[in-house]
Amino acid sequence: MSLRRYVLRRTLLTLPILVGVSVLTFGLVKLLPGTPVDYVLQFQEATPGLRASLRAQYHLDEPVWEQYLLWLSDVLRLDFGERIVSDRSVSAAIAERLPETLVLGGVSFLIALLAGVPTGVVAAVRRGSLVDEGSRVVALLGIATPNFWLGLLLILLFGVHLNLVPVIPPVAPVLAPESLAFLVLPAVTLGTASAALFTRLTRSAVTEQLRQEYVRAARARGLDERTVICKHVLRNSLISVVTVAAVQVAFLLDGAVVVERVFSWPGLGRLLVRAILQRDFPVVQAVVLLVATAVVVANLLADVLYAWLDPRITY
Amino acid sequence: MPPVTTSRRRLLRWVGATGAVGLAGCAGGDGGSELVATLGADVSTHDPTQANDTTSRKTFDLVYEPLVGVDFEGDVHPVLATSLDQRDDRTWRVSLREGVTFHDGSDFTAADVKATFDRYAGTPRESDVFLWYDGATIRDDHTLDVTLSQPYAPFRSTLGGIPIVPEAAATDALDLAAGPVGTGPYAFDTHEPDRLYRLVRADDHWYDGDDVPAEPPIETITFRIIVEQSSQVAALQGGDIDLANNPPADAVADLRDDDSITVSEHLAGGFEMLVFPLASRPFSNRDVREGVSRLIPREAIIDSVYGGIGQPAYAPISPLLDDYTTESFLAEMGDEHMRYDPDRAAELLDAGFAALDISPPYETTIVTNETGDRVRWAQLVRDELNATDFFDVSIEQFEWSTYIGRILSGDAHRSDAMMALGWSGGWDPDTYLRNVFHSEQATPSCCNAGHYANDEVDRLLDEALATYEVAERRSLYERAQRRIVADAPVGFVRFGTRIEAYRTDVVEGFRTYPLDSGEFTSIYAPTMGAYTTTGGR
Repeated sequence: MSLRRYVLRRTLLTLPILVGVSVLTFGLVKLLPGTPVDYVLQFQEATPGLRASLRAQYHLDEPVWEQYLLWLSDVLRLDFGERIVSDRSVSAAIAERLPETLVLGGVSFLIALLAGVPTGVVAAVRRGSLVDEGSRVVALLGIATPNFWLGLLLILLFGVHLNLVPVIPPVAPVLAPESLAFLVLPAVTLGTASAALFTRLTRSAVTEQLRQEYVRAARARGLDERTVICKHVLRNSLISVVTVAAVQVAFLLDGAVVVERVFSWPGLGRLLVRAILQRDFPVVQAVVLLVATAVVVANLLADVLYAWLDPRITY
Repeated sequence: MPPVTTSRRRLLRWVGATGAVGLAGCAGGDGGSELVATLGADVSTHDPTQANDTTSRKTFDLVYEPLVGVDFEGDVHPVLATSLDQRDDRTWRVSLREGVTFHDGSDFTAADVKATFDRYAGTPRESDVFLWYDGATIRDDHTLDVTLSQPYAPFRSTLGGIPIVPEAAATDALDLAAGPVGTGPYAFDTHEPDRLYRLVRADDHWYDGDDVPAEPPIETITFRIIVEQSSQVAALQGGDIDLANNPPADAVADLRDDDSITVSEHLAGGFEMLVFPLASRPFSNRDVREGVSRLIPREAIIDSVYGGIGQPAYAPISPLLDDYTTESFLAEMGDEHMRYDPDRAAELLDAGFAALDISPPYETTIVTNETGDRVRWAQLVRDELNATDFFDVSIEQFEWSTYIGRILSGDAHRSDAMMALGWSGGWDPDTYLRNVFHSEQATPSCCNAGHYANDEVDRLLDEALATYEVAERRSLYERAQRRIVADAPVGFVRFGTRIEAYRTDVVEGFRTYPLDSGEFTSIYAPTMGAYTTTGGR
């Protein structure tokens, strides 16, 4: 099968996946106890008439499958509806926060790659050395540390004790220099686990390549070690790293849920958590659909990159 | 101080946006000053008839104004009304202040007041108004008669919670969702969702007395939206914000030790309680309920959970309302039915379990939401109950919507779970009693989750609601409280305290308001003689 046909088939396959995700999310939100009406009225006196009219307003008095079809028909017209507990549209709420999450995710991803890959290469080349052992310990710590805890620790150290950085985001556009400077701590918090993953992955891939015949041949030809590693070994090792990295992009999107809260960063993660807590299902649906799309696209991208990087691979 | 023109403000904002002077807390220039405060969640609406969350309501205080305001001691002061005259049991004549304009330039008249009340019908906050409102007759531009559906004693303090909006908001001509339009000392400036909410001093607020400065000393109030409590405390300590609301109890001690920070507190209008499911054995038995109440270690809870802040509750009405309760009355209620006393509890539980013919230990749960302090006090109660031979209690924690769904669904009184619950009252004694203890307020109508029903209590509460005379009301409420405490449908735990912390070198004149959603009252409330400055900057 040609690459083009493969991509086409995979793209078509994503549609049922997205529908499945949306059905599942809708069902899960509906299964949760407590309705938006409970949330809106909270501990207030309300006549049965008011309750009924609010239920009707949110279409809660219709069967769940009808509510779903109603939602689906709106979404097909790219109308994500109104938020239940706020007077803003869902699309606007997402559009306001998407750039924030993308920038945070992007910076974290860069930090993870810049820290993870070189460390992995050095660890593989100097296998058994102090650098290798040290990076192993740091990587394990990085994967095992909960990011909300790491975030709070960084805030206390750099924001309060040393008072080097602000604790809350500056009032500035997301790409302004001071916003990017502020982003270093949240991005490190969010990127640490990925960096650790990249380190371990790169190390094992490079180690594997170093055992290959062509490395010995290159060395025998008298090439210096730098050329051997950078020109030959690294290129071949990075195939697996690139594919994992593509998938990791999507995970950075939802990893932001916790980090955004700790650093008061106004992104999608906070919107999603609040919407779930308030049973604001139009928002939950839309954000989950967005994240699901990102995951599916990232996976597709990973597969395509894999084939493109290594022409021996066919589908 | 020269008046700040819009264009300069716009220029400042533009410069700030390009990144030259955008850091939080540094926007103050030569003429104005900025206060950086926080909100614990995003503002969800600007419309008072839609606002179900305290966060949105907090911001109303400075943008909208009510007819009357209730000050820090509970006394009523005129704001947009100049007088309220009672014509008869059900009619009040309201005279309005003249020369007041809304932020959109329209004049404030009686038509705005009537429209404000009318548009509550059918909205989530309908009960704010339609509990007592029958209609209003406009007599002239600045006078109207408000007719009540029944004699309603809390009328004046209730008006304090009704922000007046322009008449146009009742039509399509003005959409409050786009931004609030009130008559208050501050006007809406910007809302960047989940990031900040900003108010600026309104151009010509009506106040021209000399008790306080004729215009608010603080030019800009920026509320940063910080959900994570630990981050809010860190932001205060790091100097990113000037004022923090309701820091968690375990952070208060640290803040007190910090020389650069002042901690301000005030007894609050609210209490924590343990609600019993009255339709379910063994909680259907009064002795069992009093026995459990007497095992609530209130002093220990206040010491270890709340860092010594707050006071034990033995009856519903907060001591904040000193017209309606006294320390000695609370102490008496404690002695008679509530105070921690394991020996007396054992006798009562013994008698109760024997009467029901239940052989202990009885396995049950305490339902709570995830509020840390509430979970911790529920755990202490669990430990006390499990230390007896009568109970085997575990804690069930739920996130907020699940929790309120369980408690308010209408069948919690039949489950076997006790419920840990907080209740916020207001300036009128009715707010501490009717919603929680009147039989007509049984869930799902409102908040009587245990389905407590006592005809005498219902009658006393109804009568007190319609009685204007304070001494007479006090005696009715005292009788109702005695009856409720004796029946022990809930175990009262603690009266809360409101706490704020602010940077000593920046904030001057700030005072803690006792009720939720009134946090920012003292920034500028001229008729109460309150104002705040950022003197240190």
